[in-house]
Parts: sequence; structure tokens; C-alpha cells
Amino acid sequence: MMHLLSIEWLKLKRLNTLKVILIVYALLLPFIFYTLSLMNVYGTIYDESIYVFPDVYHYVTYISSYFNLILGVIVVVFTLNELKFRTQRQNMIDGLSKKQIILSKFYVITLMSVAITLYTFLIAVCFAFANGGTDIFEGIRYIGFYLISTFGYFIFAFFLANLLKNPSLAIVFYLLSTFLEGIIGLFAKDYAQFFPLSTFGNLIPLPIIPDGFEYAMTEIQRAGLGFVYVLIFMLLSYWVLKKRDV
Amino acid sequence: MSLDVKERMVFGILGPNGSGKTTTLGMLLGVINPQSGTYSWFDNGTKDANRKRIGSLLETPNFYPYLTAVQNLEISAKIKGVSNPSEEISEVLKTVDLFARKDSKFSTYSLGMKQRLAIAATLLGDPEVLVFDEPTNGLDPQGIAEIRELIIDIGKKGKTILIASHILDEIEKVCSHCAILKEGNLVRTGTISEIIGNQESTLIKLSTVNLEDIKKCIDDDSGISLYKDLGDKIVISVSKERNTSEINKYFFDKGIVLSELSVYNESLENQFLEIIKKS
Repeated sequence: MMHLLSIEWLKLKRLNTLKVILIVYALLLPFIFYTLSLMNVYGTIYDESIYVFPDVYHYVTYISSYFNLILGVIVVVFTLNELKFRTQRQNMIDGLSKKQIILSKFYVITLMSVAITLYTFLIAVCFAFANGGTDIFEGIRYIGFYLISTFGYFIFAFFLANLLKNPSLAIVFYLLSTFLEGIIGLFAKDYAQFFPLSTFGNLIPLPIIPDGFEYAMTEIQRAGLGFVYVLIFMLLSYWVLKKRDV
Repeated sequence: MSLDVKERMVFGILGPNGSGKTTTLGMLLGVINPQSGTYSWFDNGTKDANRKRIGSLLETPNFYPYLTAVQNLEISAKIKGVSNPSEEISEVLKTVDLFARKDSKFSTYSLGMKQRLAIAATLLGDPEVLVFDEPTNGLDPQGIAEIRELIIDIGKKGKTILIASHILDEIEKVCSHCAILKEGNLVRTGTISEIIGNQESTLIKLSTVNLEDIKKCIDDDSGISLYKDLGDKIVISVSKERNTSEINKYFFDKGIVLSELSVYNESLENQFLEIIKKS
């Protein structure tokens, strides 16, 4: 694992697109929460408790999850760079197996999801302490859900990139897929909440009306299903690559 | 098609564009899934790790454009598990004469430099087998000569080399053995001299006052055939056993005095085309 990650690190550490997007994200996220707190958007419907534990986790992860959709684009970019430069082919010729090709990106995505989750966690904690919060572990389960949700969106982006092979097509499909899934869901209302993107999204429901929707599964079950989808998209990515000439 | 490449051979795969050279090598290197058939490296089957013992340049130089030569080679070296990368990278860059530009981004390289960097990459880790697909593609005449020298040198060091090309001259200059492909089928295989030297017929160039006289005699005779009409001269094809004096006597007996009679050497390129055409 460390071997594959160190190879990926050599490729990614000098990829400027990635650096710029991540830096903008890192600067923008705290700024947005600061601005929101000044505007007191939720204050009118939701009381001050969203700024302290336990609700702060739910609130912060919910807002941050919108950014995951955008960060998924990075996944598409660094996956399809390897096709554009034909370096996926070269990496294989140099001795990597198709399994290692998939695994090395999987490790990067895992690490990226963990890093983003930790960063979000840090923002939530800072926010809560600044507003007089005390018990850091209260409501922390949302950080766990957020990790699976983030991981899910990224792996889905990775799968689309592998399947479609074309960056613009993959990005457009990725950004539209939530809507597309919603449309399909209209025809299968009973099952819509079990669809992959709904599963990832429902892990962190809208904070104002957390109980406004009847879920067939408990939070833990939803997290479990999300994890199953992560594995499915991974295996599908491997299967797509396995069948293909690179 | 079935090929067996032994240790220390410099083996050429020759064929026109689209004959399946790159596809064949791509299958051997695990990037193209064969519909049927098998291959085995080092008597060790199709394991992915085998490729770490092979240095390959397939079709195009594939590198990260935003990285420098050294940074690109670091990635290859890491995948191959090279023990002392920085030393080896400097060494291979010197071999292909790119050391002065080692810290320039790949995207700033000319086509020839890209090709040379790809050859440098194949040398990393001192592999037992080298696979070159059109290694002189995009190089200027001097570059072509240098790369051929380099490949000949590597061959002398006892490495096994597989080289694909559509340029017969290239194969003839560097290879010991060769296979000719056409439309995915093996047309011929053997040593270079077997393939290039072993023509069934000799070509002879003739000239006389009236070429029509020669043509008439050719029609009558079964052992001689018209190969090519050069306008002021005629090239005939005769069986290998017959020599020029015999031909001269033959025409003299027919009442034709030849003003020119010489063995005609087709360019190697044309011989290759002949082999392809005949098959």
C-alpha cells in the first residue's frame, strides 16, 4: 500500500490543478461558515444550538457536503489524466497490474476523504469552541457519516471516470447524476432512498427537519449500505478496466 | 502466429503499418487483452511482475507533461523497484544525451527528445529484455544513427531485444532474427540472412538497342520473366542457379546483342515489399 501511495505522491505533488482547487477549498470553507454565522441564516428557524455540540457536527457536515460534489471533479481529473497522458498504459508496461492501478487510486481517494473529513471536523470543533461548546464527542457520529458520504461521492466519480474515459463527459454526468437519480426515483418511489447517491446524501439529511422524512433504515444501516456501495463502485471500476485494452 | 524468442536474440518484428506489430507487443506487455492465445515471459507465464524485468517503449513516449525528465523517471524507477534510482536516472539520461535537459518539463521537449527519454526509461533497472516499438520514430537522421548504435551496443551486452519496425533497413542493421507480419499473420520467420538473402530468383538489368526484341524473347521462354520495365532498360527475373554469362549467351543466340548486363540490386525496402506482396 505504501509503495503504491508513494508512486501516486510523485505524480500528484506537482499537479498544480489539484493544489489550486484544494487551497481554494481550504480557504473558502471556514470563510463560508464565518459568513453564515454573521448572517445568522439558520438562526431564524433554528436556534443558537447549531453552533455548539452536538448539532454543530450535523450543520457543518451538511454545508460541507455540497463541496464534495465539486471536489469529486478532482478525482475525475487525476484519474483521467492517466488516460490523457497514456501513463496508465506506461505504468502497466513498467510492471503494475490492473488491480494495482485501481488500488493506487483507491488509496489516494481514501486518504483524500479522510483528510477532508478531518479538516471539516476541525472547523466544526473550532466553531463550537468559539461559541462555548464543551463536549467534543457529542454528536460526533456525523463526522463518521460524513466520511462515508464523501468517500461514496469520490468513488462514484472515480467509477464514472473509468467508465466514460472522457473528462468533460464524466464531469457533466457526475454533476448531473444526483438529478438523474432523482428522476429515476420518481418512477420507483419505494426504492428511491436505497439508490446509491441518495444513500450517500441521506447520511447527512437537511439539519432543519432531520425527522421530516421517513427512512426505512436506521442511521447505522444507511451508513452500512453506503459502505456497500463504495465497494460495489470499486469492484465495478476494476471490472471495467479489466475488460479494457489500455 | 507463433514465435519463440530465445535469450540474447535481437529479434525484429517487421511489417507494414497496421500489420499487428504494436498489437502483438501490447498483448505481450499486458495492456491489450488477447482474444485467444497465450504468451510466457522468462518461462514464468503472464505474471504482471515479469514486466519489471522488461524495459519497454510501446508506440509513443508516455510521460507526465508537467513533470521534468528526472521526476518522470523517478516514477518509472519506483514502479520497477530500482534500488538506487538517482544514480541510475543520471546514468540513463547521459546515455541518451538528455542530461543537460534533465530538469526541463517533458512538455517542453521536442519529439526526438521525447523519444530519447522513452528509451532512457527502458534502460532503468538494467532489464534483461528490451522491447522497442518503432524506436527511431520522429528522430532526425543523426538521432536515428545514434539510437541504432545504442541498440546494437545493448545487444552486444547480451540483452535480449525485441524490436518492431516497418523499416527493413533498421531491422537489418540491428537484428539477428526477424519475423515478418502481414495483416496479423506471420509471413516468415528466421535469421536475417535467411529472409533477406534467400530469394528464389536473381534480378538482372538488361539494355539493348530495341527493348521490344528482349520482351519477345522473354515471352517465349519459361525460365525468364519480366520483372520491371525501367523505360530505357529492362529488369528480368531468373532462377538463382543461372548466371549472367548464361543469360548473355541466351540472348546472343536469339540474335540480340546486349549493351548492358548487370545484376540488379533492389533496395531493401523493395525486397520487403516483394515478400509482403507474394504472401
